[in-house]
Amino acid sequence: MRCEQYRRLVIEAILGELDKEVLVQFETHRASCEACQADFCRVRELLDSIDRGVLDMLDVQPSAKFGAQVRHRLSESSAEQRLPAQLWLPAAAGGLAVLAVLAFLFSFKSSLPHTPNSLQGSAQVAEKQVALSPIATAIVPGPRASADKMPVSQIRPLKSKNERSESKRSIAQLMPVVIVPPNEWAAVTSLAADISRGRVSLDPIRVANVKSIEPREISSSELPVFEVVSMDDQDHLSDSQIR
Amino acid sequence: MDGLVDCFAGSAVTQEALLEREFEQRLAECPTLAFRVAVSVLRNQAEAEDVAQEALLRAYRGFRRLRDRDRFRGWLVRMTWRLALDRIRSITRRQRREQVPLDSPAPPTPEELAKSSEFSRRLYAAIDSLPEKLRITLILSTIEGHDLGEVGRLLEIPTGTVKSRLHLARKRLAEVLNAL
Repeated sequence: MRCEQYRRLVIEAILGELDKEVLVQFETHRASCEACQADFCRVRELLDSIDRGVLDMLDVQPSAKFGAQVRHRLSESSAEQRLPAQLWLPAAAGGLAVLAVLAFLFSFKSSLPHTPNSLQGSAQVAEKQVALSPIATAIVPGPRASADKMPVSQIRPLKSKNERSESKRSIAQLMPVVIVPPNEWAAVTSLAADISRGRVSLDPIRVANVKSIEPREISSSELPVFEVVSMDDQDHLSDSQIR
Repeated sequence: MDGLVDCFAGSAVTQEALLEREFEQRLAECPTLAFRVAVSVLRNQAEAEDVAQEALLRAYRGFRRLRDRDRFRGWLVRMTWRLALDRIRSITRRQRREQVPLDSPAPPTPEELAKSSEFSRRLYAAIDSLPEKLRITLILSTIEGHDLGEVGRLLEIPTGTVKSRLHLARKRLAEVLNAL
């Protein structure tokens, strides 16, 4: 083996990559050539220096304040995440109370004989509520009689203008309507998801991307069964939000 | 009705609390790991701390979406690595705009000065020139005390692959530095 050939193999030899046969030739040359022996030592030292250098590069401790800063940023983020929950719990409580009352009134009203005038009046109020709501762009209606049997996947966003105006008429006939403010919709969705997963024992609930709630009827347990319908973001209607 | 609401509130709060506790447990030894991964790319303490904090914050926010929680460390390492690479690119761009020399992102601390020998400078340049896969394997294997199994778990690759990548990384570094 010549010196030139030896130098090409020196790194591999130190890293233990050489075949037995080549290694024997390599070692024979190293034993007979002082310069190559020195080169071997130099490269081995270089590899050690590389390992030490990488170790030194990473042998840095974060500053004393680092841990505290991490805690601080995490607690800030935690507070931000909790804030909506703290807000929505009282809001959801209020919402449920209102729903219970409205559902009771609704069922009471339903038991009275219908008059065209009262229906028209209700429709006007509902239309007005929808119109006043800044988030109301469309409403997802469902046939009233089968609403509680309709799977969530069938609650769909409305695409056309005709559908939307149709839905407004439908919603008008399903008085009363409760508009949920945008900052509470996540809370109500979460609450509704808990109900729909059976974590709490309420009758089934229909949930879409929530912006408003319609009480439908009084359930057997005297608690309202209500359908949550989207008033906004119909294109982003997603069942995954409630599963 | 109040009872019902308390029930909702209770279940929501308990779930959050459990999630936070689990995150706390997983977090216990991770800040230094994230910092070291960041410093291996950025080589600047302040920047590395900032990137590590950012990664931990993202990990916290995304923790509930992590399906396999046992992969938390690897997930955090990869996230920190990506954030650090993004940061170094943005620093480089900024320096180009401001025409500041590339190798001085911020005034070095005395410790950094002590380490900034010529060999270190060459070594860091050689490490930076390694392909990303080799580079992160080298860094993690050093951080983890050459526990190749743990590096494999962090990178989600077989131990044999870790071994060959580490070997290749050292060889390339030796070749580059030996040629200088």
